Amino acid sequence: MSDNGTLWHDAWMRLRKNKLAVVSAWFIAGVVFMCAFGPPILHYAWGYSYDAQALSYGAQPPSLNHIFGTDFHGRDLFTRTLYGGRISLLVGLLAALVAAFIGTLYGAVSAYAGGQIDSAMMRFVDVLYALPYMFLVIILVTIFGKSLALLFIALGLVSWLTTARIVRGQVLSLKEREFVQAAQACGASDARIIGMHLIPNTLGPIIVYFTLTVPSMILQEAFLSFLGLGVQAPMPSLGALINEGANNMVVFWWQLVFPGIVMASILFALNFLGDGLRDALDPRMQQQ
Amino acid sequence: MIRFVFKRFLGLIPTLLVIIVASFLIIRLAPGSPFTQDRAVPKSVLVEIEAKYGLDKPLPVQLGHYLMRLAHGDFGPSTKYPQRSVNEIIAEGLPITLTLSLVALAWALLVGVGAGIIGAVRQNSKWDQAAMAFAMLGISIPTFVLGPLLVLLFSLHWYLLPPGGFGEWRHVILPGITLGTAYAAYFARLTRAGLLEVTRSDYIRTAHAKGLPESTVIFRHMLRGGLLPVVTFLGPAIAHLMVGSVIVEKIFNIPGIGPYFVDAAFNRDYGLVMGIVVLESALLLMMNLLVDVMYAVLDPRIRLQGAP
Repeated sequence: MSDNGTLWHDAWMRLRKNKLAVVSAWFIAGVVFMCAFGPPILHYAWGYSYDAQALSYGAQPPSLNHIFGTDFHGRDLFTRTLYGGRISLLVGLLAALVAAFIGTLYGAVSAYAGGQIDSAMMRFVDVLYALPYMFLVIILVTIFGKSLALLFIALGLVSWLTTARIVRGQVLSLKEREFVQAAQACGASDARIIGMHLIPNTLGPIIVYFTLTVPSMILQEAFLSFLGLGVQAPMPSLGALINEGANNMVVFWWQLVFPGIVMASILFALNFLGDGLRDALDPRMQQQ
Repeated sequence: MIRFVFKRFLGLIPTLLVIIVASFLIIRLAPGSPFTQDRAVPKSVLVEIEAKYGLDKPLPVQLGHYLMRLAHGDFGPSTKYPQRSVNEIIAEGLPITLTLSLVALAWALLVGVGAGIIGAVRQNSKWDQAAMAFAMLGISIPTFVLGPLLVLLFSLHWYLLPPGGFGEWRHVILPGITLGTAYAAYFARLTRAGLLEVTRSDYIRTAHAKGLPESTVIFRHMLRGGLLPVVTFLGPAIAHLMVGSVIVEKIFNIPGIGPYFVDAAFNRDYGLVMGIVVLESALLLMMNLLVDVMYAVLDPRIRLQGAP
């Protein structure tokens, strides 16, 4: 696998030369750190929490005490934004993981099986593509209730199609190669060949598509929260905060502007990082 | 060509059938019924209501009835709005949603393809960088952030456009921009990449060598080949626009189909949920077919090979 080693090494060097991607990566690392450790620090130092209401401090504009201002119930908006960012990032990451897992397995098995099984499995993907999938998520969420776990599973369940197609394409060309024949000659089982030989060789595109799925999952979680279908009060997510802010924006503009900026910059950075990874891992892949 | 279109059209029917049956089963097998949310009703009344809507029969029989109805173009009754049929509700809301989607699409194509052409023709210039930064920004700002911000600025601060409602042309500008901007950004990136791809091809070099003016080369020759990725993305884009309009309709208080869907899913209004899903899937399939046909028209190589 020394060949593979230089591939990852080269990609790493290319990525480090891409300033925008590096800045985005640091920004994301910073956001993750703040979302993870910000709320407890704010709680111990200032006594702010995401759910304790203090109605006499309701809806204050940004000040030194509350840098994002407070919301209608007197809760510190900075704390709530960090907490919401935590939930949004978590849902985005887990949903993208679910999607990548299903898509990779499905695509690899389909391509490796080949023939009629392959065309039947891909036909199924085509049909699912034709479903207005956000409607499916809305139905799933209303069926199973609005818990956090079901939210990311529902999002992941409808977002694996493109990964499956990409992985299938890769495996189709890989499975004719000598190393697969060698493994077959050694008597390796199909599961072993798919898991140990084929999937590791498609990791590049999987990682690239994974990084681009995370922001779209975050966006879709926010989409649901905005409709009131996402995480439930008093727990905040960025989408729920923006929804609240949009309802009060005429008077309390900061309740819309700050969560909005945080959300947009997280998506901005994740998209740049994804683009950078794509250019680094596969320079031939077209920039869309 | 006509045979190709016809064959593809026939191929859509089984796909649509699978979608109908699958969504029928998902919504029916879900726990809850359209009547559980109301205040407690005597058991005998409930049985009677269920019999009225045919919900007391076994599931396969219900599915058969539903398919028969659909074949006659009837989406059946709505349980949430007993005085109106699903057909009426859709006929009222769908034109509004479609208008909104088309305005958004026009905005996206105009801005997106324009920015993409500028980016490709002046590759790596300041213009290119500005266009691509705009594209990245457009992709990253969610509609539910952009929409309220536009209302804040244009309606509540400058009093230029109405903040919501539906009726005249002034009502669709802000929602259209809100909905279309993200797609403008995608189109810009696709156009730029597509044009850069064909720039290096032989027929463009020939066109330059013939001494054609640059504008003719760009608009007559490069756009035709370079816009293929944009055309491919049109089908999914229209579908996403229609789903995305749920949010925009909520922000701008537009009486489209979107708000009904969320409501219907909550209330297990089987008829209405199914009607909207079936209709949107059918539209989506038709759009994809249209895209395939346009593809064949634009690219002679595909047409000569027959079915792509």
